Parts: sequence; C-alpha cells; structure tokens
Amino acid sequence: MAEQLIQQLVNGLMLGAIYALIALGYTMVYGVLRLINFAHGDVYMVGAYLAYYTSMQWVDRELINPYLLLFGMLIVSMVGCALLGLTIERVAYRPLRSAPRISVLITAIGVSLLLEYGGLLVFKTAPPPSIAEGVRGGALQTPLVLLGVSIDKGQLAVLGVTLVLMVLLWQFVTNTQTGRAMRAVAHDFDTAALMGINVDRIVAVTFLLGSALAGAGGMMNATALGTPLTTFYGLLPGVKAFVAAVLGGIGNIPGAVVGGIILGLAEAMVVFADPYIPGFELTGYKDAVTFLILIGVLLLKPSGIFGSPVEKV
Amino acid sequence: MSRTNRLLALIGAGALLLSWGCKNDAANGGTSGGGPGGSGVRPESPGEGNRVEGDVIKIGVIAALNGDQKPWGEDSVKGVQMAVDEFNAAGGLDGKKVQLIIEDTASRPEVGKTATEKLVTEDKVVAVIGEIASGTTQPAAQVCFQYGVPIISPGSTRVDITNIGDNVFRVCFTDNFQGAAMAKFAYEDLGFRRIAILTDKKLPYSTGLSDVFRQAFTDFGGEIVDEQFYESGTQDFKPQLTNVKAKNPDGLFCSGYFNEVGPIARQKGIVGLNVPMLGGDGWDSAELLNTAGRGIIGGYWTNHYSNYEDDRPQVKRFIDAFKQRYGSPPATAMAPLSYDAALVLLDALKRTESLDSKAITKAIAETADLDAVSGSITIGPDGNAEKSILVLQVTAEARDMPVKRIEFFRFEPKQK
Amino acid sequence: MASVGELVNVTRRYAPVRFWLVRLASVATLALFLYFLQAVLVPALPTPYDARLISLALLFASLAVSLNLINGITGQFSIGHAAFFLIGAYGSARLTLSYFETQPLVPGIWLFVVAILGGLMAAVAGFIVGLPSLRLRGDYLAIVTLGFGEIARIFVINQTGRGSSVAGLDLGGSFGLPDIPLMTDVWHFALLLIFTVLVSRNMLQTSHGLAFLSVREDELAAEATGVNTTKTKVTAFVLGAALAGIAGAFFAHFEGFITPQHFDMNASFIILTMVVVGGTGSITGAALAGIALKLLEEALRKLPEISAIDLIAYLVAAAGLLLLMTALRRNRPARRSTPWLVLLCAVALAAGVGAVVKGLSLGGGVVGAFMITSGGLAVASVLGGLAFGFAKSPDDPFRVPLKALGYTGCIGMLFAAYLVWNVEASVVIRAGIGLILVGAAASLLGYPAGRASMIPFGMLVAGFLGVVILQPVVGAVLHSIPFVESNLKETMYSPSNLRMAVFAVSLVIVMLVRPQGLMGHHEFSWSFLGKSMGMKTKETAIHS
Repeated sequence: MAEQLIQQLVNGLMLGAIYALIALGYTMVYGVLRLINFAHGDVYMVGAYLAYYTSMQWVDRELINPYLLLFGMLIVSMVGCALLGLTIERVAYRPLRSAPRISVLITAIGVSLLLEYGGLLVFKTAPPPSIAEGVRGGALQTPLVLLGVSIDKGQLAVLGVTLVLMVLLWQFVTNTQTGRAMRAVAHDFDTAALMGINVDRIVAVTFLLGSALAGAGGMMNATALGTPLTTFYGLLPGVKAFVAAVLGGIGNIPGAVVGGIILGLAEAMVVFADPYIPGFELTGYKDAVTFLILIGVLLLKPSGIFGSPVEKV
Repeated sequence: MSRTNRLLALIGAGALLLSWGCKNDAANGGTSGGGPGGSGVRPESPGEGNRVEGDVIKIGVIAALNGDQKPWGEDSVKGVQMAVDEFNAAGGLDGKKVQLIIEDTASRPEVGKTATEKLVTEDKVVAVIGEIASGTTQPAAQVCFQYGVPIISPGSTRVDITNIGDNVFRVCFTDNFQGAAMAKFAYEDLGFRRIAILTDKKLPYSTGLSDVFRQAFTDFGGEIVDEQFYESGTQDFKPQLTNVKAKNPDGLFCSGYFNEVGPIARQKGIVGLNVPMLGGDGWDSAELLNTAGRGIIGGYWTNHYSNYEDDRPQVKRFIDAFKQRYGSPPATAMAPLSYDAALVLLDALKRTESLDSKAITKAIAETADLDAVSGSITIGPDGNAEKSILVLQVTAEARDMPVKRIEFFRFEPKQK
Repeated sequence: MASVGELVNVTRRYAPVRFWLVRLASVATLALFLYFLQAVLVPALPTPYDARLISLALLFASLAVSLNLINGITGQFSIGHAAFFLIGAYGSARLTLSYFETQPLVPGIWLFVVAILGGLMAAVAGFIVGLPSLRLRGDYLAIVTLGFGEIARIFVINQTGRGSSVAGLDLGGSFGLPDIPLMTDVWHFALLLIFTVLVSRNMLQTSHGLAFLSVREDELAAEATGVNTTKTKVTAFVLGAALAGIAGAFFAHFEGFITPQHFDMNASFIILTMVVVGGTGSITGAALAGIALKLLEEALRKLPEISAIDLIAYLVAAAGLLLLMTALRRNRPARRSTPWLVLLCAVALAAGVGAVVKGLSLGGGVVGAFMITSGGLAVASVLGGLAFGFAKSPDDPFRVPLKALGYTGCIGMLFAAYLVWNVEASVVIRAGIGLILVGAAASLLGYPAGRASMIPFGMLVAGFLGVVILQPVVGAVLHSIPFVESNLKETMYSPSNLRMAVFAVSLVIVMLVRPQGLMGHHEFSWSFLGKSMGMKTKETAIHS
C-alpha cells in the first residue's frame, strides 16, 4: 500500500506538471490583461501539431541526432505558437482593450472555436496522428525506476522544464525592466500607461511568452504521452490548466505551478482511493473532483492559494 | 409585482386549459419510437415512407463532418460515395441513378435528428445511411421509424438501437456479439482467467462494450478483477494503470477508441504493467501502431476485416480501389463498413418490388449472404447483420494480423 | 344589451373589473395566438422539418433570454447555462419515465407538472450556483459556473443505475435516456418564449428590475444605496435557472431522447453567444439572436461547395479589411488621418465599380441585379458624399459618404431579404432570416439610435463589398503560387462543414465591430414602433 501510495503521488506530480506548464501561460496573460484566454488551450494544440509536423520531416531519416530533433521540435513549436499568440492578440484582443470584459471573453471563446474548427480544415485529423514513440531517443523511452516507483523520463523532463521556466519567469518578472513594466501594467493599466510604459508592447510580450510556453507544453506532452492529435487536443488540458491557475491564485507564477501540482495530486488521489471504497466506482468522478476542489477553494479563499488578498477579484 | 404575478398565474392557468384542449394532439404526437427491448418482435413503422419520383433515386447520408467525430464521419462518407459511384458507373438501376444527399450531424445528437428530419421530409429520400455514433443514430432512427424510411447504420454497435423498429438496420456487429466473442477468445484460446477493464465513461460505445464483456467473461467462468474509468480527452492514464497493476491481471480489456488506447498502451509500460491488451473495433486506425508504440504489440482485438486477409478477394479489391481513389488506405473501419451499408441498400434496390421506402425496407430485411467487404452479410430478424468476427493480433509489422475467425453466435447473458 | 360606451364606463368605475377584463383579454389573445400557431400555421408548413426548426429556434431563443437575465441584466458571468438546461431535462425525463404510466394525468397536464418540477430542480441548482456569486465576481464566477456545468455532466454520465451511481439512480449514463414519451409541440415552445420574455420584461419594469440593473452597473454603489445585492444576485440565478430548467423539460419531451452530449460545454457557449451577439442586457436581442443563429446553422446546409483557394482568398481579403477597419475605428474623427480615409473610400469605390462589373458579368438574374444596384449606389454615394461632405464639414468629409454607404447597406439588406426568400430552402429559414433582415434594415432606418450608428454600419458595408471585390484578386494571386495551386487545387469545402468556423468568425467580427452586441441595451417596444412610424408617444419603458 505504501508503495502504491508513493507511485500514485509520483503519478499525480507528473500529471500536475502538465497542467502547471500550461497554467503558467494562462496566469501570465490573465495577470496582465484580466482576460481568460480561452484560446490558450488551442494554442497548446497548435504547438503539438507543429511538433508533429516537424518530427515527420525528419523521423524516417537517420540524419539527425534524436536529441537535436527533440530540441528542434521544441523551438519550432515555441516560435510558431509565439507568432500565433501575437497575431491573436493583435487582431482579436487589442481592438477590444476598452470594451466590456464579457465581450473580450466572448472573443476569446470565438478565437478558441475558430482554432478548433478551422484547424479541422487545415490539420491532419483522419486518422488522428501522434508523435511516434521512436522520436524520443532510446534512453528516454524506458522509465526510471527508483525504489520500486517508476517515473517516465519524458514527464520528468516536463516537470524539470516547468520548474526551470517558473524560476526564469519569476526572475524575468521581478528583475528585468520589461518584467517590472509587466507588473506595473498588471497592477494598474491606466496608471502604467501614464507613467510612460508602452502598454501595447508589454501586452504583446506577455502574449508572446505565454503562447511560447503553451507551444512548449504542447510539444512536450504530445511527445511524452503519445496522445493522438485532434484539434480538440487542448480542450480538456486547457480547462484543467485554467482551474490550476485559479487555484494557485491567478496572476501568480509560482501559484500556477503549485495549483497544477495540487490538481494532479488530487486526481491521482481519487484514483488511489478507488479500491478502498468497494462497490462504488470513484474513478468515474475523477474530473468532477477537480472542479469541486476548485469551487471549495474559491469559496474559502476567492483569490486562490497564493493570490494576494489586496487584489480585488 | 402583484399585478405581474397575477398576470403570470393567469397565463399559466390559460396554458393548462389550452393543453387540456390539445391533449389529443399531444397524445397523438406521443407515440414514441422504441419498442420493448428483447421481446424479439420489432414494432412496425407507422410511417408511409417516400417513393422514388423521376429518374433519380435519392439516398440520404448522415455523418459527423464537424466536431470531434469528424475522422469517422469523413471516412464514412468516402465509403458510401465510392459504393454509389461504382453502382452508377455500372449503369445504375435500369437507367435510374442514385443521388446522395449528405448532411452533417456536427457530432451532436440534436443536429443529427434535425438533419435526418430534413432528409426524410424535405428531400424525400427513400433510405438513410448513418450514423456512426450510437448516440446520434438513436434519434435519427426514431425519425426514420416515425416516417417509415429505412435506415442502415454502418457503425453503431449499441445493442438496443435496432429494437426501435422494423426499418432500422446495421451492418456492423453489436456489442453483444463483439464483447462476447472477445470474452470467449480470451477465456478459451488465451486461457485468461483474471482480466481488468478500462472504460471510457464518456463514450456509450465503450460503456456498452465493457458491460457485455464483463457479463460474458464472468459467465464463461473468468473474473473481472478491476474496472477503471477515464473520459475521452484524458491524456495521462498512469493513475488508473497503477491501480490495475496492483490487481495483477492476465490481460487488460480496453473498450475505448484508439485515441486513448494508444497512450494507454504506451503508458502501461511506464508503470510496469506488462500484460497483453484486448479490445474491440474502436482500435481500428491506420495510425494505431504509431500511436501505441511497442506497448500494444501482442495485443488482440476484434474487427470486421483485415488488410492482410488474403483469402477474401473483396477486401483486397476494396482497399486497392480506395487507395486509388483517395490516395491512402481507409483511416478507420468506418470506410469499409459504410461501403457495406451502401452495398446492402443498393442490393436491396435491385431486389425491391417497387421503389418506395416500404418495399426497400422489406428487401433490406431479406438480405442474405451478401458478399461484402466486412464479411458475408445476412440481416437477421432483429435487423442486425449476422456475420463472423475476426480476431486480430497486433504485431510489430501490422496492426491487424488475423488470428481466428469466430462464427456468429447469440450471446444470452445468464440471469444473476 | 349595453352599448360599448356603457361597458367602458362601467369598467372605468369598477377598476378591478377592468383590470381583470384586460388580463382576461390578453390571456385570450395569447391563447388565440397559440391556437392559431398550432392549429393553422404548423399544419400549413410544407414539412415537419419546418416545425422542428421553429421549435428549436424558439427553444434556443428562450434559453438565451433566460441566460440574459443572469448575464445581461444582472451582469453576473455565467458560462455554464447548459447545466440548468440539463437538470430540467433529466429531472423531468426521469420523472416521466418512472411515473407517467402509473399516474392519472393526461400528457398535456403531466408535461406542465414535470416542467414545473424540472424548473424547481434547476432553481435549486441555480440557488447553489448563485451562492458563490456572493463572494466571487467576474471571471472567478465564470469559472465556477463552467465547473458546475462539467460537474453536472460528469454526474449524469456516472448515473448508470449501478457501480458509480449515487443511490442507484439511473440516468442512462453516457448513452442517455431514450424513449421519453413525446408531449411537447410547437406551441409549447412559443408559450415558453413568451413566458420567459414576460418574466424578464416585467421584472425590468418593476423596482426589482432597477436593483438588478444597479448590480450590473456598479455593485458597490448599489449596495451603498441600499440594494440587497446578495438577494438580487441569487434571485437572478434562481430565476434564470428555473426558466432554463422548464426549457429543458420541454426539450426532453420534444426530442424523446436526451444524452449528456446535448448539454456539454459547447451548448453553454452557443447560448452565451446568442446573448452576447444579440446585445448583453437586451431581451429582444437575445431572443432574435437565438432564432437567427439557430436558423443560420441550418441555412448553411443549402449553400454550394466552395474551393479551398476561394475560401482562403475570402479570409485573406476579410482579414486585411478588418485590420484596416479596426485601425480606422481607433482613430477617432479628430485624429483621423486622411490617408486611411482615402484608402477606405478607394476601397468603397473599387468595391462599387467591381460589384457593377461583376453584376453585369453575371448577366441578369436576381444576384446580378442586386450587385449592379448596390454597386451603383455605393459609387454614387461615395462620390456624391465626397462632394457634399467637403462642402459641409471640411474637417471630417468622410462622415457623409459613410452614412450614404450605410443607407445603401439598408437597401442591400432589403434586397438580401428578397434574395433569401427566393432561395430554395425551408420556408421557416427563408421567412425567419428574411424577417430579421427586414427588421434590422427598418430599425436602422427608422430608429434615431439606429440612424446614429449609420456610420459604423457604412464601414461594415464598405468592408463587405470590399471583400466581395478583393476576393478574386487575392484568389488570382493564390492561384499563381505553385505550392498553393498544387496542394489545394482540388480541395472543396461544404459550407455546412464550415458551420462552426463561420460561427466563430462572425462572433469575433461582431465583437470587434460592436462589442455591446447588435442590439446593445436597446429593447423593442411599442413606442419604438410608433416612433419609427412617425408617431409621438411618451417614453414609459425603463431603458438602460
């Protein structure tokens, strides 16, 4: 039982890393713009597709070092998604800066639907393709076994990258000129503009970073888990990641990671508890439990775990 | 406010009075489709049906060309189109050509129902082919039942759909046969005694297949040691697989679609669960090996046909023609099944006494030993295609190496 | 026998009697209308498919109006409305399947009983969801409602009668509940819409309504002036949920088969879209958008296939023009730079000329005539407007041509309505969309507020014509690129497969062009109708 519990905790941690990586981008955009970017999950989907197409270019040729290929896929996804994010911001969100919040939210839903259903016309969907197992170099394919607990190296990499990115972002936001400007914009949009900050540029940088993170997440998860790609690939992870971001205190960078990991652990714990409740199939409610936790946390502490109480929600 | 309340109360009272007056209308409209399941006799459709006028035989197709079921819907349309084009190229029916009217269901049941109603009442089609998803076929079949137009589903395996009425048919096998056949194969041929099940809670197909498999495998004497659930769209299955591993089963029955079966196969190696996987025709995808990786090799699944089935010329001919026309082999089993659904209908057209829905329904019901791609099709009294099933093994080279053909049998669950 | 005058006198003297007479008369009118609808209009429809279209359009209109009560009037973000719809549908269907056979009521009465019960169940759910709204605002509330929608759906797919069921409840799991007796007809949905609209409208006309509006406009200020914001918000959720629950009950007994798929996140988004496109806070807007979007969805089935290159050309042309127009939008007249406006006028001129040429090349027919007329009008309006505009206001000479283009667009809309009427499609679609186009043109022409928005509308028309004209140019460029030509030459798309994409694009465009929704906060009222006829009436409705 103890081994089972540890294995499930590790599973939960890895699952949480997925949500955390996507949540980072969500939280940045929300922090600056106060916009639930529903299209974020779809940018993540595009990132996964870009990685797939990149891998298809080289997978059959033995010319390229597998690790180099993985790196190349990561770069293509991040750059592609960054450009996509910039375009979305420029075309759909910027003209609505002064519009009511609900209009912007609806636009975000519209962009999300457009990427999902427009993507059906552009991307390969029948049959849904997936990034081949062989794309990961030989050593990455076997799990790492520590004290009877097995860990997927690919997901370990996701966790590692998430933590590194979290630290880097944190440094960026606290210690650089642009990062300070970003926080100023997040704190007070109008005053920041009055203080001579180019708000448009800061918002664009935020979208660029957030979307690049989504692209990285799409590439890494699609490679690690092998899920076949459809244009609805980002729907469920997107919603879960948003929940994670809210859980951790939206706008708060470490909060997003902690929220994601709590969510992953909660899901794993629901599955872990299942055999101990005979006659009731608890795993069926796995996804509902995450939403229940969200509602519970929001009722007790509406600004999320790490959200500053000063922030008016 | 009180005035408002009184006004609303009055409207309510008026509505009640009105509905009392209209009760006859309502009761007439209240004849829902769907006869009692299992009674053996399917209710006769009360509708008049449509008849062919002029030189064009209109046939409706409903398929998901939008939304998350698009991969199957698109394949389905390709299959039907190919069959009909071949039929027309061969001269049609005494100079009469078949015209397809294809409507999108957008992967949503209510849109599917609207599409069917449009086809049946506005376009006056004489027959309908579709849908893949049982959840959409159900309302579509109810519409067809109401108006007396025959409907042939290529891929809805849900058991009770054909019980709706005598004009509802299908060319795939039911979950009842598929699940029982796999249970039989696992128990008798593979010698498995302890099996764990992974079910996609969101898919009626998956829950239906798992139910029958559980029942059948227990009836044969085996034990279902665990059943775990996930929802389509889930990407990480390691928590569930860890639970399954703790029960130490002989095999893992995955009743979902390949979208999730692939990642499950990859991830079960990660948690150290090294048992063969078993599954149904939801596995069929040209991408299966690529998606699932090494974890699925050695797994068994059931399907309607195999690309490597050299003893049946129809399969080879179909696949060659399909490749030539669309540039790639069928992506899923829905292309050949829809092709077969169209074949059954076109064959019925040739045998029918008159070109109207009632006669065509009768002709479809009399279909016997039709040499189709997915096997020799005989439509049974319950509207289901009685045909054998093929157990396939996934090998490193191919996803569908034929292992055994199991002849049609009726699975009667033991009463608990 | 008393004369009419005496009767009036009597009713004046006995106010209660008059009150009841008026009420009885209105209920009688309503009953007569519903009877006419069900017994005369529906049988006269060519096919049952048309009746279904009417029913669905009315259903979605009432769902949109009920969500408008929460989202638009009270200003609480709710993006999980399908959950209330689901609860009403499943609750009533379960009751019907369990008890209908063994109880004495006839279907017509039973339907109302379960509809009220379904509405009550949804109201309880609305109360539960409304509670967090005491502590949460805006996006946080939105995500809670979204989560609630998902929880409701997951709960239903787990109720299979065993295993994961709570107390053995059987809701059919993921397959759903088949074989629900059909009891609902077109008139039920008409009644539902009227009822929903009346509840919303009457609420707005009482002091309670002001409380709702004040919560939307500024919650703190509302609280300071003594509005019980807690009660108001929860009431809005309970009412909106109850109405959606009743709609759900009617839907379940109309469709005969309900699955969790009917009520997923997409359904919530579709209802939300109707509210927002119609105009957040506008009952009329929500109802009209509900009807129009539902019918549009079906109308797309009738359009011919389009090649991929043509489609991309349209998209590129539209995107380019959209960028141009959003750039113009943000340049307020005072700062409006002349080069942009020259460009816009050039586009409008080219569009007009192009439309005439294209119309001529079509060689007659309705489409050709339409293109020639509207193109000619566009050219004339831009040229004439330029001349006039320079004389009138040298600072911003483009107001006049844009206005003129707007009026051209109104005429275009009337033409479009005529075209739609002649399309080979269901009579419901033709009549519905045609009427909405005529109504839109009429309100733009007749309503002062509508006339004020003639300039943005003119820009829209210029953009529309511009897309039509630029498209062949972009298409020719695309065809000349070998990569595109070789890869996409044979790809064809059917418009009905583009449905959701079209939906999404139009959503984004409406939001960009008119963020407050097409109707804004405006409502249809008799005084509006009177005003557009040139009559003078006193303003009674509370406008916001």
